[in-house]
This record gives sequence, structure tokens and C-alpha cells, in this order.
Amino acid sequence: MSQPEPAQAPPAEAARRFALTEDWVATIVGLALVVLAALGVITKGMLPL
Amino acid sequence: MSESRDPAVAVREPGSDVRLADHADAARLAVERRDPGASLPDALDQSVVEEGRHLWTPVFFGGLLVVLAGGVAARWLTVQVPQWTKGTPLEEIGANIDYPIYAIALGLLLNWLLHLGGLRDKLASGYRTEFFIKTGLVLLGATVVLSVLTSAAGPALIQAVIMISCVFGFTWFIAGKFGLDQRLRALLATAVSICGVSAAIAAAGAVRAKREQLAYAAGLVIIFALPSIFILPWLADLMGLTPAVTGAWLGGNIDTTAAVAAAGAIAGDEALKIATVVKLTQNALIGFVAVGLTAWFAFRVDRTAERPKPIELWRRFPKFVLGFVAASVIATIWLGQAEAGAADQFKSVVKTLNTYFLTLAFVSIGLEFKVSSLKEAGWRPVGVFAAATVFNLALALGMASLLFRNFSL
Repeated sequence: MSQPEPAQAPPAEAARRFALTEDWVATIVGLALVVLAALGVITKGMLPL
Repeated sequence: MSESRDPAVAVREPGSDVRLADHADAARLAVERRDPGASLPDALDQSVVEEGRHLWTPVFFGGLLVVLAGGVAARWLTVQVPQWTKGTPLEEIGANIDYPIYAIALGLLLNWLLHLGGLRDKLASGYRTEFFIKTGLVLLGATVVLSVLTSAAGPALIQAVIMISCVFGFTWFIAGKFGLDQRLRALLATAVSICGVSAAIAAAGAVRAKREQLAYAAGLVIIFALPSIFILPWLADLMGLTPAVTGAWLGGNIDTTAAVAAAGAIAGDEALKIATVVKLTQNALIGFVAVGLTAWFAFRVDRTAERPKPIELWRRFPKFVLGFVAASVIATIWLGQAEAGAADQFKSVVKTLNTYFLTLAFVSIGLEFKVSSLKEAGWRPVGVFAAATVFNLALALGMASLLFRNFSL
């Protein structure tokens, strides 16, 4: 007896999940950079231009 | 812009990013390949925020590399041109050309070169305009310290609310009279009433606009903003406006934040400060407009057989707005207890990072700009945007003269 294939989200739904991820990724990256700047991990000398 | 003209997003093939020429066939192909259960309108309704799958491919990294190269070149020119023009008749111009101009110009140049080589569309998955601008706006939030805003918050907020309401309403009304597509209508109204490209991107996320519509709105914003950087400070001087009124006028009517900063810098330090506060107050209201647009499109425009659930409001809400607010709170708390040296470094680093991401976003916008989308849209959106800009200029001048007449920092 063959194993049932795992349920897969329709492509449109998968794309929607990615969209949410990209939105959140921008938020997380931005906030992470703010925190790193506050902690002094990123300094002015590290930003050449 | 017709609904049936924009299946380009939906028809990108995994790994190839091929754009099909025949729109109708492409839309059907998209339905068949991507979601057999979806209707044709569903496939045509692929949003700019739903685009961008199939990352981590060579073409993605190729496109990203092009954007980064353009960004580095734009930053380099921003630093070098003032030095090159120093002591020459072009010194003032060289000193006042800000990074958005270089970034957009280089993006357009790269766009043209890649188009000639047949690579522009193939590398398009690497032009991450939305990611760059959203990250840049979160970083911008860290420069909006709440205590700085409070000194001018009252008049700035009053001006922002009235300006956004009136200009958005006027543009929405005019665009409706001109028969524009609902999503393009929302993008243009938001762009001209709040903060240009970044507001258009926020609106695009809220109303699920198409990539071409966003590129078109961004193109109009850029075309109208560039001359205003130089013309409006000159007009303010000609009219004898005070620095505070000049700043409030610039901040209230120039669409993009970067162009406001550039024009404010030309007008003087005090004008720049007021212009920045007014503009950032408008920026902070993006979220309210985005939520309003989300609600309008979820319940009125995109009505389906099944009534949308309230969760749609959250699903379409641009999450980076939360990041913007969170960054402002973090910066305000941290700067409240930091030593002067550390605070200065923090502000400098955040501002530089913000500039990096906005530069990359502007390069990407230049790369994505297509004359064909302007031609397809026709003259009507240009007419709408021009009328809205004139209305914006006049109303902002009246509001600034009224609210900032006796204001000084």
C-alpha cells in the first residue's frame, strides 16, 4: 500500500506565506540593525561610505 | 491601467523569470500552472507582495549584485561629486544633489544597459525594492525620537492629518473621475498625500497592487519630486516665507522623504528641521492609511462570494509599520539613558544604514522602471498626478502659513 502524499498548500497560498515572511524579514532585519547599533556592535568606522 | 494587462508577475517561470508577451495567454498559463483551482481574475490579482518567489537562484544573486553595485556607485558619487565640483561654478549644484538622484539615475542607466543585453527581466528577482525600502523605513523609525517630535508635534500633526485627508480625498476623487484602476488610484492618492514611493509601497502591500502599478506610481513620484527639490526652495525665497513656513511647506507637499530632506537642506538648517518633523509625522501616519485601504479593498473592492474575514485586515497590514514604531520606541528609550558620545554614534550609524537601504531601494526602482508601463497607462494618471500635485502645493502653503507662522525651534 502506498504512503499517502503529504498535503501541499496551493501555490498561491505558498506565495502568500512567503509575502508575510518577506514583510517580517524586513522588520526583523531593521530592528536587529537598530539593536546592534545601540549595543555598539556596528560602529561608524564599519560603514565606509 | 487595465486589469488584463498585468499577468507578468503571475507568469514568471520557476528558475527562468521569463515574461510572456501575450498577456491573455500568460494569464491562462498562470492559472493552469500555479493554482488549478483559481479563477482567471485570481491569477491576475497577484500582488507585488506575493511576487518574488524562487529566490536563491543564480539570477537572484545576479540581480542583487547589480543592485549592490549601483548602490555602492551612488554612495561613492554622493561623496565624491561635492569634492570634484568644489571651487567651480557647479559647486552649489554638486553639494546639493542628494543620494536618491544618483541612485535613481544609476538604476535607470543599469536598466537601459541590461535591457540592451537582454538581462533586465531575467535578473528581476534580485531587485528587492520592497525589502530594501521596508528595512530602510524600520531604520528610519529609530531616527524619530518621540521627544524631538513633541516640540512640533501639535502643528505638524494637525497639518499632516488635514493634508493627508484632503490630498488623498482630492486625488482619489480626480482619479475616479478619470476612470483609473482602483489599485492605481489608491497608490497615486497615497503617494501624493503621504510620502511618495515608500507610501506607495505601503499602499501596494495593503491593496495588493501589481508590480507595474507600483513602478508606475514610483516613476511619477520621482519625475515630479526631482524638479521640486530645486524649484520649491527658490519659490519660498521668492515669496519671502519664513524658515519655519518654508520647512512646513516643503515637508507637507514634496512626496518623498529624501527629496524633502534635499529641498530642506537647500532652504536652510531651520527649514530642514521643520520639514523633517512635518514629513516624519506624515510618515508615521502611513499605518492608519494602510489599515484604511486594507479595510476598503478587503470589504468593498475585492468582494468575493465568501465575505472576507476581519483577519484580512491583519493579513494585509504592512508589518514593517510595526517595526517602524518599535524602532522609534527602542531608540527613544535607549537614547534616554545613553551617554552623549554613544548617542551620537548610534544616530550616525542608524542614519547611515537607513541611507544604505534607501539607496538600494532607489537603485532597484530605477532598474524596475519601464517606459512601457507608462505608455500602457496613458496620459490620464499623469494628469491626475499633476492636478494632485498642484492641489498639494497650494493646500500645504496655506496650512504651513497658518500653523507655522509664529513657530520657531
